[in-house]
Amino acid sequence: MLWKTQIPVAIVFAVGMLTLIQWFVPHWPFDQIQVHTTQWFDIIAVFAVILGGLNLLKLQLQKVISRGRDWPYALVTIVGFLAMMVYGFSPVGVPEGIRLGDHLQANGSHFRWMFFNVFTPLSATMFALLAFFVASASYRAFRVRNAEATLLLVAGIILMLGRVPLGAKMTAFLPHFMQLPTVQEWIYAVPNLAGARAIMIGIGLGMVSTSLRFILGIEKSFLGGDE
Amino acid sequence: MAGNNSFLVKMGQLDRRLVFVVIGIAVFLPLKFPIGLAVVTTPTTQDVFNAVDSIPEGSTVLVSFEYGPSTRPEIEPMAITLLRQLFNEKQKVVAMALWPDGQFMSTRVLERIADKEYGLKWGVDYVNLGYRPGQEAVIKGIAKDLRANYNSDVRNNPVEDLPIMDGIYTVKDFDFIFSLSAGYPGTVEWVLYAADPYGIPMSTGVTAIQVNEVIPYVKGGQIKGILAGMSGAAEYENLVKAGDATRFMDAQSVAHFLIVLFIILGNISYLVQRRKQTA
Repeated sequence: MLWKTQIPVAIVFAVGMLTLIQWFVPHWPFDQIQVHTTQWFDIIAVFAVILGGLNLLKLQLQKVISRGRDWPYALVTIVGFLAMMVYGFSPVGVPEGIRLGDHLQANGSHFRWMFFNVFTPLSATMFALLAFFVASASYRAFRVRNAEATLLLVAGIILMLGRVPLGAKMTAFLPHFMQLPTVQEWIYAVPNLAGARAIMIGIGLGMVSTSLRFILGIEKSFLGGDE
Repeated sequence: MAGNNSFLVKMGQLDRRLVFVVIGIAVFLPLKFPIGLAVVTTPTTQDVFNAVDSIPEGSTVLVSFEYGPSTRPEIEPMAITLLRQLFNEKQKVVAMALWPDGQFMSTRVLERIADKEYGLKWGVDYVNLGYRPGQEAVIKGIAKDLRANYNSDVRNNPVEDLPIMDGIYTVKDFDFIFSLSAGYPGTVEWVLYAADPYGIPMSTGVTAIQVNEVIPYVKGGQIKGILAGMSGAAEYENLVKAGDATRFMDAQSVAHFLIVLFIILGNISYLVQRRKQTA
């Protein structure tokens, strides 16, 4: 109980209070808290990357060994992961005269070649597919079912056409305030802005209350289990 | 009449593969045979241009790369045009990245523009500090002590040996911040932890999908203008020097027009079907 609950809650309370205080008392020693805690965070983040990598490898290996669903994709992930590890951390594929570490960005290194010639096109392809799915999904799902859906549909169409040169050309003959680029700018700057601000204020208040719940030990879900 | 109605209903039930093919052609043809539609500059893009233009000559500008290969077509034209505008005005550029792949994006753009196009000197006119893990903690870190987070650049040169870094100890020592952002961490975090608390002028270029999230900070005056997606990049190019985004806008125009056409067809079909059901 002491190790699993009380000590973690005390640590969260102490760190949370210190972090809060340093915002309101910008004098020594509190002004040093941010300098050091951000560096601790950076160090922990580096270890988290290592843990994340190992976890990925473990899960994919399990899938391959047990011949789980879509296991060949897991095999591709493992091969890609190991290849980038080898090219990133070993002298393999490092051009002559380039130090290990500097080679990641150096012309002629295998790591850089893999990044720009394998990862980049694959990543761009995945994102480009969105255009097709958005077109198909909006064709099938964007319907004038009720007043709210119709409003959303009309605003969507105005934004889609108003953001591109074709929309400006199509409505160039109209008075300026009726042209699509002007109307879409108004939608962004007035109704959309009002909605976005309301959501942001709501999120902000939610974050304050959740943080206070964590600091004061009311919220203990971070401990895991049934706490 | 019944024949017309069934035709209209069928128009709303096209095979999605047909939709894919039509969109594919609509994107490919304008890329191959540009139409040359005129790009109209919106006020938010003009604000970015004016903000960058008003930086005093010889200032040091922090440019942060928060995008990867997937969003490169949208953001890279902004990065290229921004560097051209900055180097035309003899500004010094310090690049960094909050995303791991952002470091590769910055390397590529700096090689092309700073090194090949302008022939500038590394460490004197520009430098790339690269990526550090920690997301917004990196921003908070450099707000207090830049050299504790970045003791060397991506070429392993110690930061204290770089002439461009003379007098730069925290983020407050930069004259301007520009965030090229495709998500988290990105523009919003730069506003919250650097630009707003320390009063550093800032501007941004983001993906179209992010505009909604960032626009409150623009309208609130915390960010000077915004380059909104591909169209923002094309408008910005129009003010500095034409590039890829201007060319891509033809394809985007036609694709958007066709998507709207599909939506209208789908809705006509839906309304005809609904009328049939209620009749």
